[in-house]
Amino acid sequence: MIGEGRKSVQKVVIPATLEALRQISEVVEAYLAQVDGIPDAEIFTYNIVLAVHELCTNIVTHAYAGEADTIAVELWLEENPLRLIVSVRDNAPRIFDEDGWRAPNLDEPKEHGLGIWLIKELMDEVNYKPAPGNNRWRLVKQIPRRLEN
Amino acid sequence: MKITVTEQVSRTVIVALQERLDAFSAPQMREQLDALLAGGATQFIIDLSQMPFLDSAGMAVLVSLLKRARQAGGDVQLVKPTSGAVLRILQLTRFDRVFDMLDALPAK
Repeated sequence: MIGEGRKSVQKVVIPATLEALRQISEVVEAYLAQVDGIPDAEIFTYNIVLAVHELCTNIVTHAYAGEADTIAVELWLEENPLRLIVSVRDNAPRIFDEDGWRAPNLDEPKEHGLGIWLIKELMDEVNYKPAPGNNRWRLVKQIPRRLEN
Repeated sequence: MKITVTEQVSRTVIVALQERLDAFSAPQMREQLDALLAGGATQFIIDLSQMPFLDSAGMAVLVSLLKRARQAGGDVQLVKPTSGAVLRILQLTRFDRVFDMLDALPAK
């Protein structure tokens, strides 16, 4: 069981390749498996794994665009209310055009644009601090607790 | 009385996906579906019943297949994933409305 406060920081650094992204999914899954009492834990965990995966895929594909570098992911919990924080950093020279982003029309699905939308749907907060060479993302998700009898 | 009898036989290709379909594996999947389309297939059933993980790149492959199959006069049906988490994402993205969803593979 992960304890109170922000003492359970988990950090992982992976190569910025699509092949390596599975490592991040495994780390996120293992991290959340230690948190007791999450209702519908399988779906909750899957959603977080997918959101982090989508973000990292975007970084590999668009920010690095094939350049060899790394992605650093940190996870931790904060209390009152209990929430998961995911910090993602890259060293890519390109930034995400947040102002130019538009939500996709789901009734006429296209082949692009769903990744960022999914992240925003699945997380409570998505904060982005663009800085070429040091882009930072912060994803937040409140963790519901199963009511004790 | 003169009658004309015509029989049309349409082929349905069933593709069962049992491993994660994500940005890493999507290009390979797209290549295999391209080959099926090039071979004249237009009716597809994509069996997602055992799909453990599907990301937006994987969903893009399905959308691309749907568009090209429909342009050729065909269609794509999806067999619902057993995983409630994967199914929920298909509902969130309205894929369950864009695609014809099947509870299971049709009986042979």
